[in-house]
Amino acid sequence: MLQVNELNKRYGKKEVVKNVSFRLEKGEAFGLLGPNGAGKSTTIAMLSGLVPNDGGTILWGEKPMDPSMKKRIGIVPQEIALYPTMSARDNLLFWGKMYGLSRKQAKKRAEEVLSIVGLSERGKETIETFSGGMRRRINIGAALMHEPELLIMDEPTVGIDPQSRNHILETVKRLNQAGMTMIYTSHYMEEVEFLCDRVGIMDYGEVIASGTHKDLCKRLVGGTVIRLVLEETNEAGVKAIENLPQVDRMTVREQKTYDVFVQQPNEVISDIMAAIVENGMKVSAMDVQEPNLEALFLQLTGRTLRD
Amino acid sequence: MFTIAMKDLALRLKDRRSLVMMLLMPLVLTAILGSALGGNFGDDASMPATTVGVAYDTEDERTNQWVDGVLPSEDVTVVSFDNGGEVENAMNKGEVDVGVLLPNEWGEKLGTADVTVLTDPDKTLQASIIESMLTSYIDRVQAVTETTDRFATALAEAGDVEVAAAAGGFSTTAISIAEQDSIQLASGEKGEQTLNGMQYYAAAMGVMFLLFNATVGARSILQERHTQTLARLAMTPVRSYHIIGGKFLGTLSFTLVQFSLFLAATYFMFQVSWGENLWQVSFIVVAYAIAVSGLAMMLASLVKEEKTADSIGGIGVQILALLGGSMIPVAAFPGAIQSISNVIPNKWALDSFLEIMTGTAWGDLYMPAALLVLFGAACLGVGATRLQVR
Ligand SMILES: Nc1ncnc2c1ncn2[C@@H]1O[C@H](COP(=O)(O)OP(=O)(O)O)[C@@H](O)[C@H]1O
Ligand SMILES: [Mg+2]
Repeated sequence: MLQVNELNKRYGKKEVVKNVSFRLEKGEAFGLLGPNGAGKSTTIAMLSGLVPNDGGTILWGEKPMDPSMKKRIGIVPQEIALYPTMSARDNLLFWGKMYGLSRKQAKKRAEEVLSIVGLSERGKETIETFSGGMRRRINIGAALMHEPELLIMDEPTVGIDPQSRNHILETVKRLNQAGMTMIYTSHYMEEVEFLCDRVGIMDYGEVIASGTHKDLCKRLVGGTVIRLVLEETNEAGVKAIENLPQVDRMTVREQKTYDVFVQQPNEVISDIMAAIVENGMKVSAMDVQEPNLEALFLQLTGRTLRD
Repeated sequence: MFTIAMKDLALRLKDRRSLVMMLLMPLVLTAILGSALGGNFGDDASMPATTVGVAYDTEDERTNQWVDGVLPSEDVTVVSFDNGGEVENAMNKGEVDVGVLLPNEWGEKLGTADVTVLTDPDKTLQASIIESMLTSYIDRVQAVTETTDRFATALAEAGDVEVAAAAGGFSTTAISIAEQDSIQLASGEKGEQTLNGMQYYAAAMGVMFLLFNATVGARSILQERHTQTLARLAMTPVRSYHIIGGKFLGTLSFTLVQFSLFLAATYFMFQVSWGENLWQVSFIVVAYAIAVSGLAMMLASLVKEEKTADSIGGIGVQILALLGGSMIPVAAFPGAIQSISNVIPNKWALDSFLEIMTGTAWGDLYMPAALLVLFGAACLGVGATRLQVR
C-alpha cells in the first residue's frame, strides 16, 4: 500500500534522515523503533507532507504521494495538538471538519470515536482538565475522525502513566485487528513488539535493521540469554559452559551472575546443567530471557534505546 | 476556512481575561476620561484676556505641567514669580490681573486648601474663572486617579494579575490625559456639530482597543504553532491559504464583534452618539478591522515567542494609540510628530469616526478606508509569505 524509497532530509549540513526505505502492506502494523533524535518524527513529517523531502520517493499504491491523499491518512502527532480550552467533543468535531466531514457526519463520528478511546462520558469536559493519558487518547481520536486508511502515530504514549499506556496500546491493537493499517513510532521496545508485525530500527537517521520480530531476533548473535546465578563457582566449570558448542558467548554480569547467549535454549539447558554438576558448582537461580529488540539495538549500536 | 475562523471566534469569546481586557477596559476608560474631561470640546466660554501671575517654588512635575501646559491659552498669559510678594508688587503695578500662590509640593498633594488666589477688586470675574479652572483641574485629576486606582484594585482582587497590570498602565495613561488641558482638546472639533468629551473618548478608546487585536491575533497563531495545532492543520487536506485566511478572518470577526458590543454599550450606557450614519461607521470599522487583522498576521510571522508578541504588541499599541490621537488629540502635538501621526492607521480610523460623529460626506471616507484596507492587505501579504507552521 505504501512504499518509501531512499527518503532523505537535511537541516543545514545535518543529515537527519538518511536513505530510509520501507514498505507497508494493507492491514499491517509497521513499527519505527529508535531513540530520541533518531529521525522518526522527521520521517513522519515527510510522509504527512508537512516538510518536503530532499530526495527519495513515497509511493501510495503505484502513484507518488500528493496532497490529495492527505484525506486517507490520519496522523497522531508527538505533541498533544489539541485546543486546551475546548471540550474533547468540540476538538474532535473541529478536526473532523478539517478532514472534510460535514457537521452531521462529524457529530455522529465524534460519539463513535469517544467510545473507541473510552471517553464517552467525558466528551463535554475541556482538554485542559484532562490527565495526560486522556489527552493522549483524544489526540489519537482526532486522527480517527475521518476513518483514515492509514494511521500514523508518533510516540503516542510518551510521558504517561503505565495504566493509561496500556489502555492506549489495547485500543491501538484493536484498531489494527479491525483492519487498520498503521505506522507506529516509539522508543519503547515493548510497545513495538506488542503492536507491530514488522519493525524498522532507526538510529542517527538510518534504518539499521528491519523485518519481522522473528527475523530481527535471528540477527541477534545468541538470540536468547540464559541468566545464571551460581552459588559456588569455579573457573573450570565456567570454561566448560563457555565451550559448549551451542553457546555463542558468555559474560559476567555481576559477581556470580552470568549471561549465556545461545540460539536455542531448549537444546542447551540440560548441557549447561550437566557442566555445572560435573564441575561441582551450584545453581541458585536460572532465568531464560526471550530475545528482544532492545538486545538487538544494544548489539548493533552499543547503546540502549533510552540512552 | 470559516470553521477555523469560527473556532477562533468562539475561543476568544470564551476567554474571560481577554473579554475583560477588550470590552470592559475601553468602556471603563471611556467613562472615566469622557466624564472627567466632560463638557463640550468646542464650548470654550470666552473670557477676557487675563495675565496670571503664579508664584511657586516647587519643581514637581504636576505643578510645572499646570503652570506651563494647562493654564496658558489664547486668553490666559502666565507669568511666573518666585514668591507671593513679587506677585503682589506686579499686581499693584497692574502687570498682572490675577495672582495665584501655590504652596510647596502642591502637585503632590493637589489640594485647594493652601492655595491663595489674589484678586484685584476690579477684576473679580477673571479671578473667579481662574479659580474655577484650578478647582476643576484638581477635581479632574483626583477623580481619574481614584477611579482608575479602584478599578485596578478591583481587578487585582479578582485575581487577574495580568489584566490588573495592564489596567495599571492605563490608569497612568488616563491620569496623564486628565492632567492635560481640556481646552487643547477643543481641536478635536470638526464638521458641523461639536464633539463632546464622551464622544471623543468613545471613538479614541474604541480605536485603541481594537488595535489590541493585532496582538491577540498574533498570539493566537504563535500559540497554535507552539502547541503544534498549526502543524496538525497543515497535515490535513485544508489548503495553506485557507488556514491563513481562517486565522485572519478569526481575528477580523472578533474585532467586529468587539466593536459592535462597544458601540452598543457606549450608545446605551453613556448616550454616545456615533453620528447620523451607522453605515459609515460600519464601513470604516470593517476597513480598520482588516488593517488590524493584517497587522496580526504580519506580527505573527515576524516573532517566535508569544511573550515577545505580547510585549511588542503592548508597547506598540500604546505608542500607536498615543501617536494616533487616542490619548490626546493629535493637534496638541508638535508639527513633526503630527506628520508621523498622519501615516498611522489608527489615526485614519479615529479621524474618520470623529468626522462621522460630526457629520460627513461619504466622499471623505473613501480615502482613509482605502488606505486602511491597503495597509491590511500589505501586512497580510507579508504575513502569509513569511509564516511558518512549525
Ligand atoms: N526543524 C529542524 N531543524 C533542525 N534540526 C531538526 C529539525 N527538526 C528536527 N531536527 C533534528 O533532527 C533530528 C531528528 O529529530 P526527530 O525526527 O524529531 O527525531 P525523533 O522523532 O526520532 O526523536 C534531531 O537531531 C533534531 O535535532
Ligand atoms: Mg519524535
